[in-house]
Amino acid sequence: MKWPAHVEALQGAVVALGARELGPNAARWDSSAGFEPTFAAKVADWGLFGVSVPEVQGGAGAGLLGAAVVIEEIAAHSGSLAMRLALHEGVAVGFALGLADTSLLARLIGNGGFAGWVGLGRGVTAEQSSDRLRLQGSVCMAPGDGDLVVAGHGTGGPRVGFVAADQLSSGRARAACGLRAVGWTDVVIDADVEHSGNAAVAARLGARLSVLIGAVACGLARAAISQATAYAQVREQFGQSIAQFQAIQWKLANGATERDAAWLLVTDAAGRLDAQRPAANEAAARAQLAAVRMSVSACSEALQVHGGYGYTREFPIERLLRDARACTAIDRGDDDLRAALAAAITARFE
Amino acid sequence: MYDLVPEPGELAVQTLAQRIAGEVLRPAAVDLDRRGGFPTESLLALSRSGLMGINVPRDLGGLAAGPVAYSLAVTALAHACASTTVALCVNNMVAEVVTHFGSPDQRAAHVPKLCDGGHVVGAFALSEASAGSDPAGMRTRARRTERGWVIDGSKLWITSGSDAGLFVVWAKTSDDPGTRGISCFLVPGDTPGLSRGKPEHKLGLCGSTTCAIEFSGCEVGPQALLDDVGRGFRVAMMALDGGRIGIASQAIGIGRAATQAAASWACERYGANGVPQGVAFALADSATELDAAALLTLRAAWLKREGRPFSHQASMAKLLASEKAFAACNRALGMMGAQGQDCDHPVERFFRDVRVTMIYEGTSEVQRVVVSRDIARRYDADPRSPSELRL
Repeated sequence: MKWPAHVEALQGAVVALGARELGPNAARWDSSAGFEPTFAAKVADWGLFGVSVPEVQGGAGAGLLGAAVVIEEIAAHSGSLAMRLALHEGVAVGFALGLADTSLLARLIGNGGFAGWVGLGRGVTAEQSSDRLRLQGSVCMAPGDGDLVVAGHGTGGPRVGFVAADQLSSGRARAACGLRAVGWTDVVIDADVEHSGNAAVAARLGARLSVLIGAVACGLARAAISQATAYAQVREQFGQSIAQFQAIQWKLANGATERDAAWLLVTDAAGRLDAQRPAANEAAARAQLAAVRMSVSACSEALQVHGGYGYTREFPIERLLRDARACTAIDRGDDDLRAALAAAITARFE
Repeated sequence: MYDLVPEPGELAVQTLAQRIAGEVLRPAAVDLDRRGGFPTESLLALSRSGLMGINVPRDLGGLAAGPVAYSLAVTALAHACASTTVALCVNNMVAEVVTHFGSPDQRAAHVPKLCDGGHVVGAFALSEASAGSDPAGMRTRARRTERGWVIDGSKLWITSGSDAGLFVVWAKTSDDPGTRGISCFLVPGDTPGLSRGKPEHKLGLCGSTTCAIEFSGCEVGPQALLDDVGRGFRVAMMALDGGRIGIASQAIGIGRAATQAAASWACERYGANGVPQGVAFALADSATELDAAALLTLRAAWLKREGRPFSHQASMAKLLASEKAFAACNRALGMMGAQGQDCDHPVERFFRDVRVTMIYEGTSEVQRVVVSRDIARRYDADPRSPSELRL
């Protein structure tokens, strides 16, 4: 696909970075369920924070589309890092951009660490007073133990606020099936925050995150299909490479077709959100729904191509499948996405 | 047609398996999965119960309960702990192979020890690095000597390879093309020249070991040869046909456990009468598909019990059961969101464990080859008679 020149340049840089820094370490991050303490600083140095932020505000100026391209590329190496960036860029950076809060943006683009997200439906209450938002709740399996953007329900409807890490009490770390290096942690939230947003803000952040979760899912699927293709060409059974069997060819063909279709939905939704076009949130939900379902299927089929080898950790394919499956654990699940889409579709007929 | 209602003796074995699953396997499953290794204590309890030789004659230490009882028991055990169950399945398969193909001396020497834990467990050493779905690619060789046979080569993905006391080993004994030159040997685990690799790190079944086994100048006596020279492939295929009933049953047990866990979660979250259709229908699909797979599996087991051909029916059962069980676990994990991903909840273990049922003892693709060949054969025999494809 042809991107604007500055997005293409970013993508090229991430391709090189992935081969040099990410791919060789991804399995270790997965097995140790986290990154090194200094890793966020490295990510900031690589320019991976603030990709969607305009250059005048200190970012890379690539918009959400650029962030999706970068995150898709990273996911092909490390799903966990890609998801941490999706949360950081999609929600936290999106929140700061919406507020035009330059100090918060500087914190997020600089070396403030990864920020996470606790979406609606996780049991957090949000009570707005005249100048403060009080967020309270215990959240099981929040992504990471850094700053959090937290959404909650209150008497005035949904509200969302930025909670700095030092306002949170972290509980025990949780072992998870996939995206292990995200660093799943129980947190207790009891914070008064200054900056807050309403339901529309929560919806916009959810849409940004949907696009970037879709990008993670597409990157995982692309890696899985690439690895299955390479393996099928060298693995010989019954006197020929297994790539010559129609059963394998169809898996690869179906996987590549469905992955490309999902990626087009993701980039279309990113473009709509960047341009603030109508129905952008609906497009984002559709992209996430399609991409995550596609990714689980593509990774599972790619594992099948690997046969018994695919079930072992000797090959990265089992990690890709776990990571793809975990994409639904970050925010809205399939049923929530379908409900949102159905509401949008039926609203058009009213 | 088929009488798929189990007999009282078969149901008694199912009840026994359910009791041991509840009392022994389920309480140990989480810890076993986390620490990895071999399920020694659970297998010891299974050895005491007779379940290590369900389809083995009583005079050899088994329950003589037949393949239907075996299927029901495996489903009940896998519902609690798939890792322990796979070791039991392979042990039962080895015990049946020795019972069926072994000489009286071989049967007496090994089958009682497979049933009572004297061998710890048995292992099935067929696959190799270059011979997964295609046994003709086998490179392990057995050379005849004055004192018996010397085996050289290496095997891969051997379930229970770390602890097994008896290996059924397949090796080429001639240069005949294809599978004709393959013979089968019984090799005790302490035979000099047999060495065990480190257990593989795997996606699931972390409480069961999967190892490479090396044979380097491994010398065995003439009594180690199972069945005749060059007949090993027939032994393997017969064992795998029965084994596929076991894997189908295992998949159904895991799929049902995931579906029940998800249903329990849904009722707690939404209330029994408030589960939304998106969740409720997914559970209905899982329950329906797993019941269909269970009936296919019982059909294959019934045919085996009656001494009738059951090869393609076993493949159908394994194909449907493994794929629908994976779908059920995938649905369960998806509907539970972050909670499903939490390693404190068993559904993520079910998801990791079930995936291999589409791979081992013949991938889904191999099952489709078996089923499609059978369809082609029957149509070729009488192309005007589609009724040939009826049950």
